[in-house]
Amino acid sequence: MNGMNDVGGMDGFTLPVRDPDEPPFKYEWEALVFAASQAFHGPWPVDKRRFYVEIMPPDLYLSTPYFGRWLWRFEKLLIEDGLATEEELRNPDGPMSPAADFQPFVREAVDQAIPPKFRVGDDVLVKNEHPTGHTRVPRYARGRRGTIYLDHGVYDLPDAVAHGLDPKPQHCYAVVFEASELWGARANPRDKIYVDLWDDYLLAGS
Amino acid sequence: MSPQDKVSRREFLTKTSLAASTAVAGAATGQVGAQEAEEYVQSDYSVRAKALVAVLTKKNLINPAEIDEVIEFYETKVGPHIGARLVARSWVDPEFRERLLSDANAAATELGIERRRDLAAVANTPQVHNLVVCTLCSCYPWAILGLPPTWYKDAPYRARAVIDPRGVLKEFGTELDEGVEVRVWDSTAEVRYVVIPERPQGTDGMTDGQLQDLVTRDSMIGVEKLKSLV
Repeated sequence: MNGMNDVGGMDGFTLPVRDPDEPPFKYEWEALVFAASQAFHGPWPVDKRRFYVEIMPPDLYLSTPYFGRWLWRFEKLLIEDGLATEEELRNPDGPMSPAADFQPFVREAVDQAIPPKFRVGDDVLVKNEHPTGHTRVPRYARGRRGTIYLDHGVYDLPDAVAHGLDPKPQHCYAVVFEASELWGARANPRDKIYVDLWDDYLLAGS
Repeated sequence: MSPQDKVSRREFLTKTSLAASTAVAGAATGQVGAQEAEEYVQSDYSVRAKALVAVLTKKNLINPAEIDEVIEFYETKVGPHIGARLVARSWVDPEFRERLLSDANAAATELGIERRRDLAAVANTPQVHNLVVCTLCSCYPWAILGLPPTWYKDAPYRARAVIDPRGVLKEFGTELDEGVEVRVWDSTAEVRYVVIPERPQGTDGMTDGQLQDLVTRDSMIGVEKLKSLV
């Protein structure tokens, strides 16, 4: 979906003051949210968890700190899947209902023998698609022309995994774009942007 | 009374975050002290995070000991010192460097580095400067750099790194010659990128261990170059 997370190329943000001695977790709650996400071996693949940040309303996304977004999606997924209720999350000292049954998500090995659609050096055109579900094509690359730079091998297509659809294992490539293809006259013509993209996102193009 | 008590149950999840941002907005207009607003935001997240862990624990959905183990691992075990081993070795061993650049997974395994995700290494040269970003979320090579700094995860860096990499580099104090090619790697898929910075001048004869101490996290993200020692 065209969510607030897809910020590549936006103007108007100011880089924050950087703390060179920043610890991994600045506040205890950040450590708790992170660790709970790691320690809960739940039914959600990472692609689905990413999607549940992407669906945050844009104003809420921008006003919520990083681990606050993790907390928001964790609460939402628990409630949606019947693993906890809003009342329980609001009042953890109260009575608890049993959690619904679930199968922990386990990433299956993919078949590396699946043939690639493209070879290194091939010119490609990124499809100009705007799916309402999860996708990993940044908006700035849609409809743009690039060249296959590297073949990373076969990985499951996240668009399918995120929504529990039949797996679509396929090749994923580093596609190189001239900066001027993406940003026009504003770009330094020497610069290049590399974006990792799956077969399904690409058309042959020259 | 905690802030959430004022909020209807149905809209709790949305309202808590919105209330927090309203407090911050209030601080900007002088209605609430900035520190007061910050404390409000943090206490709100703290209440929710503790409730999350309590609920998961009571329902036997997590093992509390694992919470402590995860925090300890990311606070004390994993960090840029691991990536620095790859970089320093690549400076002293040209054959290792070739293996690292062609198959970073095998090179990491060679040094006994554990990882869950695939890695790729890209090398800076006098002609090429590499910069890593994840515009869509926060993909980062945890196994060799630890957890990313806040600025890497927040919108400003992610928004600008792809459209204005030279401007971002300048803000990090990194000046590039006009003739240098900038390559920005947007980690949109399954591979996590690490930049192999150039070996600083004045380090001839230093041991692998001494060289590791020179390698910074930011140089492996690509936002800075390592300073010459001469």
